Amino acid sequence: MDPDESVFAVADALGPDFVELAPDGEAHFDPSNIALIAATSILTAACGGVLAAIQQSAQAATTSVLQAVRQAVRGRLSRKRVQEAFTEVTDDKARDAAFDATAASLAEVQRSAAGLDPAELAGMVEAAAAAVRQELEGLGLSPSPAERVQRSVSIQLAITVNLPTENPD
Amino acid sequence: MADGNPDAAGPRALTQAQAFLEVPLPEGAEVLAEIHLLAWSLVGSVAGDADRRLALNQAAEPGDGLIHAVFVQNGAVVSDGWHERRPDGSGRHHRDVPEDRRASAREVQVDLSLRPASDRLRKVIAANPIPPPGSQLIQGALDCADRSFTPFAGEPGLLEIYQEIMAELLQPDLERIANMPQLIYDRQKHWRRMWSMDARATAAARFAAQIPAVCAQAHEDDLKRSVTTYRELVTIAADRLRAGWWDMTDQLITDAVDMGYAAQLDKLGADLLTEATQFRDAALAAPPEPVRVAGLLFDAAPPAYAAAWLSHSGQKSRALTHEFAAAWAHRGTVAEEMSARIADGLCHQAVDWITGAYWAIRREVAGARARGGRRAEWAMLRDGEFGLRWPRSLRSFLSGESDDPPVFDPRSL
Repeated sequence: MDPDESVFAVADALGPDFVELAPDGEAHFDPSNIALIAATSILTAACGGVLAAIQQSAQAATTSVLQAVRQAVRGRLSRKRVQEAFTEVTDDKARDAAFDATAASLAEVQRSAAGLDPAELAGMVEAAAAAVRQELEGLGLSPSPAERVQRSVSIQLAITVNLPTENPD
Repeated sequence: MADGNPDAAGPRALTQAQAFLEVPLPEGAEVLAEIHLLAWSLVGSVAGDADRRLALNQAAEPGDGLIHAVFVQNGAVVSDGWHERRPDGSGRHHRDVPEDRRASAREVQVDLSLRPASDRLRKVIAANPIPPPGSQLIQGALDCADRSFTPFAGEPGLLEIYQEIMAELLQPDLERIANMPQLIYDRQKHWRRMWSMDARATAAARFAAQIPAVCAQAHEDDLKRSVTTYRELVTIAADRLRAGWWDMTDQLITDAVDMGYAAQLDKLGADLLTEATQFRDAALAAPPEPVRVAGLLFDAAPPAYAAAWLSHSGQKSRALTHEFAAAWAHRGTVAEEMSARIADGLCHQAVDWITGAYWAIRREVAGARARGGRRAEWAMLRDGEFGLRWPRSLRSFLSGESDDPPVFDPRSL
């Protein structure tokens, strides 16, 4: 697992449509850094969703697991947090800090997933990716880029927990 | 393209207007490429855009920070604006900036009698005479750019549409009324294809074609009301076009919202943004061929501009509900950003090709990789893509993985 590659993949999935997540009236520089920071937020939120699912899976019914995933993703992918990528000054230091935080989240997911049933893990990954898409659409992202991001998040999480992927690029 | 000596091309081509002026004129097949790129940089987005940008770049340096640009023509101040200029050559135009930021801005006089892109295009065709109909296209682009530097100049395309609407309205024939939207639409398409309408005028003409039609469709089960609505709105459209000024069409948008057609305009705005997005995505997915990329950006510019304009003007109406106002504010932000990037992209296709900037960018990417690793390299490559400066297909050349620079393929035309 290479956390940087995961962030790049999600940022590429977002592409120039990252602007759809901007606060109204926002005009900005640094499109790539904004896309990268947004991608780190998305991946960190998705990791939070998988971790919540792992914690719930042993003790709750499927519906509660899905609810836990949605809540975890929603809490980490708030409008305020996503829009901060646009409104706060983004320099290389801030970008690197965001990468480090995401790498830590991905590593935690990898550790927590060790030994779990692959089929169950696959369900959690899909649930987290779907929750990410739902939140992003709620924040104003169009269905087409939201679907791309969902697919990319799903692939990157699957790589992280060592699940087979159809299209790892 | 100035690619004979890869080491000779200067970095940050768009900010080096002097380098642009000093590049020898093209020869052979590259004449055709340069004519298209220059013409589209002049009329693709805002008429005269490439001239203004290059003139500004001659007056100010990258890294100046915030500047207050005062545009002067024939010794008189004609306009001003605020421009953020970064060391990497990127920049942003602001209509206004907060008072506290103004104090830090350096004032720069920009001489608009300098018309670097138009001048170069004139030199290219003087050295390589082009027979009709190509010569008419080129003259159309030059005239369109010239008009943007002439106060109160009317757009002939808009005036023609005005006259046609008035002539049609005098006819009692319902079938002719029914054909009017297509007639106006085809007319704007013709002027755009003749390189004689910029994105703003094309957007105004599209509004004249589409706004009355989509509002009339709201009454498709009531023919009389549908025709009355169409006639009322197309009359407003004609009235707004009577001087040939694109910006007067603003009134058509607010009137349509005031009359209760926000839902119809909402769909029109969404359709325009979808159309622009499809062309933008096609440009990003294009091969490393600047004429192909520029052609797609040329098509993306009017719907992107129209989507932004519709969203912003519609919000001026007090009749707009809170729900639509929020959606339109969001769409306006997205469309304005896209429109600005398309304008950037059109200028870059011309300037980067003419100055051969790709080689310098390739060196900068290698430098970024050496200094900041993959993250810095990724950021530099994507800045160009998200800024519509180059397509994704140019990544392998710019990152040094391949040695195939952009080439002109006449089949793109």
